[in-house]
Amino acid sequence: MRILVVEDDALLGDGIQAGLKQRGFGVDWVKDGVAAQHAIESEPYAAVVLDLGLPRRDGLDVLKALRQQKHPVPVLILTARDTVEDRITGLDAGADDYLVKPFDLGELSARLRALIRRAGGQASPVIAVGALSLDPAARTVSYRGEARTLSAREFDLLQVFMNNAGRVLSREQLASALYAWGEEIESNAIDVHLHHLRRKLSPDIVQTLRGVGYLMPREVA
Amino acid sequence: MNPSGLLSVRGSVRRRLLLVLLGGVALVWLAAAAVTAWETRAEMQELLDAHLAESAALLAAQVGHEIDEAELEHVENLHKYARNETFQIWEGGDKLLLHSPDAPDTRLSPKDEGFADVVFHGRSWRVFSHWDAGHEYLVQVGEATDARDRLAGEVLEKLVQPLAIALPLLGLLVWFGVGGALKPVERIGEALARRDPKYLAPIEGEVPREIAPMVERLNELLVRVAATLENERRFTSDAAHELRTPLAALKTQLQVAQGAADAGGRDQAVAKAIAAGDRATRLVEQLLTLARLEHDAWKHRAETVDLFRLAAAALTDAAQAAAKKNISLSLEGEAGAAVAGHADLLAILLRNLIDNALRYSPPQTGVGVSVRRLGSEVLLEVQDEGPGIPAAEREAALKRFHRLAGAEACGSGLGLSIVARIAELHGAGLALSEGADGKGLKVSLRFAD
Repeated sequence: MRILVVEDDALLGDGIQAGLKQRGFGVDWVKDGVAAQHAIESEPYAAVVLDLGLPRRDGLDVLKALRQQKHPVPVLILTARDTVEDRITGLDAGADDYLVKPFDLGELSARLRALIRRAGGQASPVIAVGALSLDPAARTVSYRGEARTLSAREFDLLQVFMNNAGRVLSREQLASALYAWGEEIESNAIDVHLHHLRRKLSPDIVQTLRGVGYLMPREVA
Repeated sequence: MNPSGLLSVRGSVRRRLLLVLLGGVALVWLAAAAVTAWETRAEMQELLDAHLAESAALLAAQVGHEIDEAELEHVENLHKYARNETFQIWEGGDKLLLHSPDAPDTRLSPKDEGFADVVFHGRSWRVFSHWDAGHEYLVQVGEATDARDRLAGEVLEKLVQPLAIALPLLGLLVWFGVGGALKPVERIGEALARRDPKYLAPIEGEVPREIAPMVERLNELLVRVAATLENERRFTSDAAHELRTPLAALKTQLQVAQGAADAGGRDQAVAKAIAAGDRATRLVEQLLTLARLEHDAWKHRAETVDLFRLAAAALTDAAQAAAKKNISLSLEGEAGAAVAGHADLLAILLRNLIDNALRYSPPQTGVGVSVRRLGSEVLLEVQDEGPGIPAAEREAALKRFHRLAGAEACGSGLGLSIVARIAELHGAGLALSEGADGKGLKVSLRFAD
């Protein structure tokens, strides 16, 4: 799951990036409001962690502009401002959640998972598609009732497919949903991970549509 | 009324008005009464003198033909006032022909004609002497003057008597009138006493013209105090919020260290956590410096400070940090360029300027300090070759907690505001501009002599 972190403080931004990576997220980090806006408009982030007091463009302005363009990406405001009025202002500007500094990395990643889950239209923390079920918090997968062990990348790829079951995804879409900037992507990386997924679960979980992309059917047998 | 003991209460408006008004009224009234009484007495004197002369003329006209010696030798007293009047008729001026019962045997007045003041029977008398038309009889008519004095006294008494009623009445009127006029003062006082100490809204409502200036000044003071308090409150709140970010970084980096898969990652995160701790420490130190600067005590007790020597010391302190980034430090100017000020504060100012310059300068560049005498002024300049500050942002850069876009956000946002505050305390002009060749930042301070 690819996340954008917008934070102007070098040490904190670095910490959030490292911490979220440890917890299985792909993380891009920008330090000002203008860069944040460009990033959100050009990349398919699963969620955005947004500081408010930003150079060049205030976080709230970035958020309002996004919502005006009907951009649906879930946004979690991460700020030092802790009054009720501040929270109300933030949520009314279009934020989906609000966390006050200092915070716990575990709580931040749990809230992000909840935001991503709700954005995918799922109320339950466990994502289920047919015989497949995936728990993003515990990072566990079971197929036909049996637990299966997946690598981090395989898990992330499966989660993207399950969140988009019934939709065709191009190789580029998959890559940009999985990898943060600066991460090295082998040209056949997606194919390799998909191959492993098919081997560990079932060859039929994802269909290849040559020249178009990949599709996970809504009913996985 | 005055528990603080700071005010010395002297006099009372009410008592003073009472004294002045009652005293004044009594004085004017008494003077008017005295003048009236004196004039009445003079008027009466004339009237009674005329009456006396008339009586004498009447007697003189009748003497001769109508006087019956036997009957008139002793005329009865007909009226109580008659006791105060007496007369004699002398034939040829030396033979007592006729007299009133209480008249003496000797002449009332030695004069043959006109008025005279004499004493007999132990009383003062006014006597008028007059010869009849044939110059046969001398008529003398006297009147006791104490009666006149008593009359004048009575007039005076009648004039003064109302004062006894009028003065207390006036006193009451003044007392309550002044009390009523001072009601607004009392009302404002009570409203102030009931106020919450944090409630600093101006006083509203109707006040008399005389009190309005005082209430207006008080309101102005309240507005200023409220602004100062709001400034303090915002500063405290800003400071607390600013501390949250380095603390969040500290905690996050520690959690990253906790979750690190290998020793290298852990060490890196711990080093960053330590850096975050240093950031928080520096922020707290700068906040304390700013708080100390708010004390107005700095405005007094200025001494002569050798700015050049202070700059040299500050550069020496910064040498190690500069060496780490391979930045060369330089000092130009004249030894002995001195300003009036506070050495401790100016050292903080220099440290902050040099610190900022080092922080934002790329490695392998130079930071230059110059202290020069310029006419009657001393000019301090600190220059770096860093990214500088865009002209549009320079003013905002002096404000607290302002951080610049694109800067590696390791500053607290307080350094320049501390410099600005110290400059202000020294009455020094502060200007930001680009450095030599339009590169970097130049901070200039002009200290007036």
